[in-house]
Amino acid sequence: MAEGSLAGQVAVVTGAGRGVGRAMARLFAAEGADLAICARTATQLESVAEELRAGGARVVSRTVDITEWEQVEAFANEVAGELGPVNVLINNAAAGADLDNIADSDAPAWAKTAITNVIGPYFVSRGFIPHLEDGARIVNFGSGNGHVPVTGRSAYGVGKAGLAMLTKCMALELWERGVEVNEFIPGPTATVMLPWATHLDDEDEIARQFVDRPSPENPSERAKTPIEAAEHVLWMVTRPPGGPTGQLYSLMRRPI
Amino acid sequence: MGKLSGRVALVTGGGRGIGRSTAIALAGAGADIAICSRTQAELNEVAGQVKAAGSDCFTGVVDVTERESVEAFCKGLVEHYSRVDILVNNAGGGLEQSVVAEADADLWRRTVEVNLFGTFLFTRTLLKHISDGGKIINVSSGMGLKARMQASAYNVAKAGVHMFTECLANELWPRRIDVNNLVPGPVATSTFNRDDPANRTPTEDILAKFADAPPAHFPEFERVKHPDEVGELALWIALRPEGGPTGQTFSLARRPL
Repeated sequence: MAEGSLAGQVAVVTGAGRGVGRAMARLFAAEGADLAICARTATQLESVAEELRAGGARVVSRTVDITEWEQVEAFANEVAGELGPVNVLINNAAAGADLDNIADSDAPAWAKTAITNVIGPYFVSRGFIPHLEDGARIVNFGSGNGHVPVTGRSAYGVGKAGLAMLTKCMALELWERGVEVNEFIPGPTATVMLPWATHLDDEDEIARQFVDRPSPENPSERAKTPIEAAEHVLWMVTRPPGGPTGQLYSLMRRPI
Repeated sequence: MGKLSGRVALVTGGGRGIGRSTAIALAGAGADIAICSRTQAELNEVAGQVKAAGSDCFTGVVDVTERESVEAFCKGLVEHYSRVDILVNNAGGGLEQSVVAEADADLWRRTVEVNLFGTFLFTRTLLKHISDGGKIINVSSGMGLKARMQASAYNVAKAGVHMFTECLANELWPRRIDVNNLVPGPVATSTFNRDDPANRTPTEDILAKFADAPPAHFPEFERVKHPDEVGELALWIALRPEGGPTGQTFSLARRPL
């Protein structure tokens, strides 16, 4: 087994086919963890799974729509059966920012975005909580949009605001098992979710064009690499017991 | 060579508690240290620890609410080190502990001055000497985000510190100076224990007192921490690479704020 800060642990990462999710899966595996990963897109996910297995990790990899409870529950049970109790759960999967005002929004699409960002993480948490090892760590991926309203991003913002509250509720309810639950806001990151790169879908190209460059709207912000965000999450999930829970950790470069 | 070798860090209120732990943690990473407080004997003890770690230590007795006192200390500090890379605005305390209806107006004002005006004063005085790419860490409190009974001056002052952090972050990013709040949550300090200054309780005794449960006004899942745990978080914030978080709050609390 690999030596590392997560040696012998089982980590679940949703949305691990690309972006920060993939960077976390790689980093956690390099730190010795076995991985359960899911995403909506099978081809990207399988490529990540093969890479992790080649590095020596045990991997469960499934195509899951996190807004479908039966799929999530089956995934959680399968992960627990194959890898054992879960030590780290990362609710990373999200649906991208809408760009229509409420008045012009497509109602089913609006609802799907909000649901993916809050009900999805709830389903994943609900599915895995029975399988968590005492002392497990949960990190929920929030957004500045969940704390401050942004025109044209209401569905995303509402979903992320709900997730911020879910984080605090989970912290209140899970502390007796030593489970610590915190929100993480990566700020702008060079992925397909980068608000000013939505015209691109190739992450290497997005990184080439935007990493370390300022945000067009907020010049104090810069686009980070996915690995920077992943390293911060690794630090969060390796805090000693009795550390922060129900808190928000953010890499943003402007007040929220 | 530590990760902060060649850097200079000022920790206000560095004579005991969180400030002491922070100064020693930063020295452990190689930083040269400046500390101030009202009590020279406490500064001497911390300076001994800092020097034992191989770092220089500049000390001074300061009342953080007195402009002349702060400016004289900062002048000596700049003469000694010529610059500051890390400023930890830690000095603080809750002096007025009555409900508003019974509050002593002078103590109320002094509480705001110690926690908020002191933070402004050190920042204002040193800003032109803080290196581009430096760090400012403002030690705040969960009480800056949520009101408690009989602590209005402290609540208001720490809320002001939070807003001051955001103002500074907005102003200083062009100089690549990152400014963040640190919320320690309850910590086994003399301030937390509301000790009589003439008779301070040792850290281990405070920890033992609250080993089974925190004080009644905290939820049972909160935990009274050792000051060294806060020093470690301050060091972690100080070690963030340039372009890291600014205008944010890093909290060790175990209750939603």
